[in-house]
Amino acid sequence: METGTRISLGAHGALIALAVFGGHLFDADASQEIRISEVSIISTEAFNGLMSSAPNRNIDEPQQVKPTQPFSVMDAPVAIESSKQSIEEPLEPEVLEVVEPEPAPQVKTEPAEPVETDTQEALVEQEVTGNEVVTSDALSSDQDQSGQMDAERLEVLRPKPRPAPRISDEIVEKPETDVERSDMEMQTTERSEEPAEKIPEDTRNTAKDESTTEIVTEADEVDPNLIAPIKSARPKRRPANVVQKASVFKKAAEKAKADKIAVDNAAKKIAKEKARKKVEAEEIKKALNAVQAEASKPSGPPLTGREKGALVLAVQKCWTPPIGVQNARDLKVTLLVELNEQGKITGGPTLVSPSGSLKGILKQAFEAGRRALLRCGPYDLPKDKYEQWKDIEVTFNPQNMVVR
Amino acid sequence: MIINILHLLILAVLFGFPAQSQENSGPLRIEITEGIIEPMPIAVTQFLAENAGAEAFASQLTDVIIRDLAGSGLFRNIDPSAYIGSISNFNAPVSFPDWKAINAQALITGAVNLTSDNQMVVKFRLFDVFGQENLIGLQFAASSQSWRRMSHKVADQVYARLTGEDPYFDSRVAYIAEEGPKSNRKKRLAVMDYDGANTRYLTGSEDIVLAPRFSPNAREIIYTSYETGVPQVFLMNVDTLSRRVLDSERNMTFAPRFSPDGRNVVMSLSNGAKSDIYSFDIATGQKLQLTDTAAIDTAPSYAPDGSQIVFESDRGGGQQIYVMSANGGSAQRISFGKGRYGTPVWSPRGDMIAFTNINNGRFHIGVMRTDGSDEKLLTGSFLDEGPTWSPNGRVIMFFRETQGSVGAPSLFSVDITGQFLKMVPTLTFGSDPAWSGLLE
Repeated sequence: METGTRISLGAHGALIALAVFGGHLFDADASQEIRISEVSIISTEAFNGLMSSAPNRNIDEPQQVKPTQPFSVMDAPVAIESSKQSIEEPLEPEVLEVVEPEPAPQVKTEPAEPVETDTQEALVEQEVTGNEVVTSDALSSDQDQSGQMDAERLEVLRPKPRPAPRISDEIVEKPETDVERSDMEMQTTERSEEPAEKIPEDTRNTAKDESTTEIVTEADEVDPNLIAPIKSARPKRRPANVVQKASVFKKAAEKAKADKIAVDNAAKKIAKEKARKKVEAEEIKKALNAVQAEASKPSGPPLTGREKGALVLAVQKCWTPPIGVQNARDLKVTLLVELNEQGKITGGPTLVSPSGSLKGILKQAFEAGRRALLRCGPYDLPKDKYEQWKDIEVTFNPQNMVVR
Repeated sequence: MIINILHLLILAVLFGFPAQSQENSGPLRIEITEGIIEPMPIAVTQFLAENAGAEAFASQLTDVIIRDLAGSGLFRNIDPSAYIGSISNFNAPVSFPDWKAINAQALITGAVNLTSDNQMVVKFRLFDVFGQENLIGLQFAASSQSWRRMSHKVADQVYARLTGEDPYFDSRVAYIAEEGPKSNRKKRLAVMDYDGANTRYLTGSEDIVLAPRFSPNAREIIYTSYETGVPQVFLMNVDTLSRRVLDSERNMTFAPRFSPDGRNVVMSLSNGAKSDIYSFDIATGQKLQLTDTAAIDTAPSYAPDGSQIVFESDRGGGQQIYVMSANGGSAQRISFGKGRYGTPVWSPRGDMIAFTNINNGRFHIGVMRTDGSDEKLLTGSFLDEGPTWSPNGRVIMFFRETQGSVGAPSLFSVDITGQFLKMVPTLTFGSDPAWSGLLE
């Protein structure tokens, strides 16, 4: 075996041995490992917020913390004057006695008599009432309908896009002329000297524009056979004498009585018939309602998770629960809205739960939910599944909040 | 095998169809569990002057209301230049579409009337624009000199109605007004509106004064003064400025605070070597020792129900926060984070305790639950100290001192999320703020 071969074999053997037994020497350096972790992205405002509360702010800028006079003299008419005096010449305690406390206001409610109070600066608080509530009335009537938010109001939420330019960019070819001037010569007519034939005026009687004061449908029409007298009086005979006349009158009275009874009977029959029809109509109405209720049940495929998730996102981006609601994190309110096929709110939002009158922080929770739903409509939902989402119940649960 | 699959299919059909029909019945149901927390856009329209005398006040009233609401960090006032609609008559119906178009979620309208005897009537209405609902309509009447308070009252009503929380704008702050170079700083006791307006000085600058605290009805202030040569707690009537030393035995007393009912004051009493916490009956002058250790127990603060007291103590070696019964007895440590803890203050809502944390030479204002959990540091600087709660327990005011020979203290406020930090304007340097309750 040649020396070169031996060296080669030895070197290769050593290399293999090192690879087998010295594995840890080739381990990847853990410190070089690239670790991947999620980082949260914060907004500029949040960053500024963090910086504003960051330590060591203004440490080297003493001039920045020098208090400045924040308000004009108008802002603090009495006290600023006294404070000016105090700055220029430090007051002795005796001098301070001169600094009058703010005079006690003469408290007065409107339209009540002036009320004396023992507070230094008493304020009187009362609800705006009386004539001033005119607005409230007007508004409350407006607000009464707020639950039934109409489409027009929601239209206002988003500005309408500007109309697209109507002039097309493409050059449209000139259409072929499909009508050409005829070469045929036209004969001219001359005005005749003879008087034109007079059209006689229609003097026939015509029905007036309004022939009846109310519309009577066929269903309401009474069968003429029922109201017509069953028997009619015989034509009068020529009077022969008084006795004959008397007997005639008597017979006529009897006949009239008989006719009246007949008419009464007919009226009773009509009333009976009407009652029967009414019962039938109610039954039909009930049946129709049942059919309609059946038809209004959601049908078609349910919304996919993605579609539902998109709706959740659309609502939550408008939901800014106030601080009091955030602090009550176990607070839940559920609102119901009705949508039309365009995703606009046509009914509600109305409160579903909790039931009863809203007290305390529930009021703010409901109002925040209502604002969110009204601000974020219309909602983009699949039209072919309208039956599934025409009514939506939204529960607002402030358990995970995003601080921006 | 095939038979088993068939069985499964049959079962799926049997149980699947009823599930489908259940799905189909009733409205579509969704649940929203995440929202966006951002300032609510509102439109505060210029208040209308109903007569010539009211014109001078109308715009100022509107400005104060806007500053209150926007300053809370929970509302954003829409620039009037963006308005589509306008309010020219307080009683005219509101055109909601005009306000929806600019995304104003709430609308505030108002009017001011000034009578010949200088009485002012301020009335306002708050509308939910999207709900098209008049949420409140109120009016306030008082002397025109109280126009700022009436503005704060209007803002308070709006704040409470829209957020569902108690308000805090109609309140005052007592603090130590400081002037002059750091080596010869003059300190006076001062009172101002919560927003820095209407400052009044209650003491002169001859003596060092510290740590003022309001009584629950904001008529009295207790504070520490070196007037007698040693630190002593004084009780002062804010209206008459009359004052007296609380402890007739002339001990060293400091760090006082009223009980929630205003009858007692809890404070530290020191013999020079150690300090313990005592409760003083204001009417009788009787005192009750609540702690008795060799350590320094100080900065006591009552729970709003008066049942417990939180305080700082170095009894465990380092300065930490402890809670004990209002009658004294054993105390339980609640602060376990890094560094030292001091100046604990119980929130008026009762759910949190604000404190100062000192760690690695830096000062932080923070909050924690009353059992010490959920600790959160809200600020940090060279020196942040002396937290005090707003009446509704949502905002904390404190003072921040800058470093160096020209360093000086200023008042700051931060909300309990730590997101909204702002400086409180004062006429001079300011330290040791104490927020009153909501004024009556």
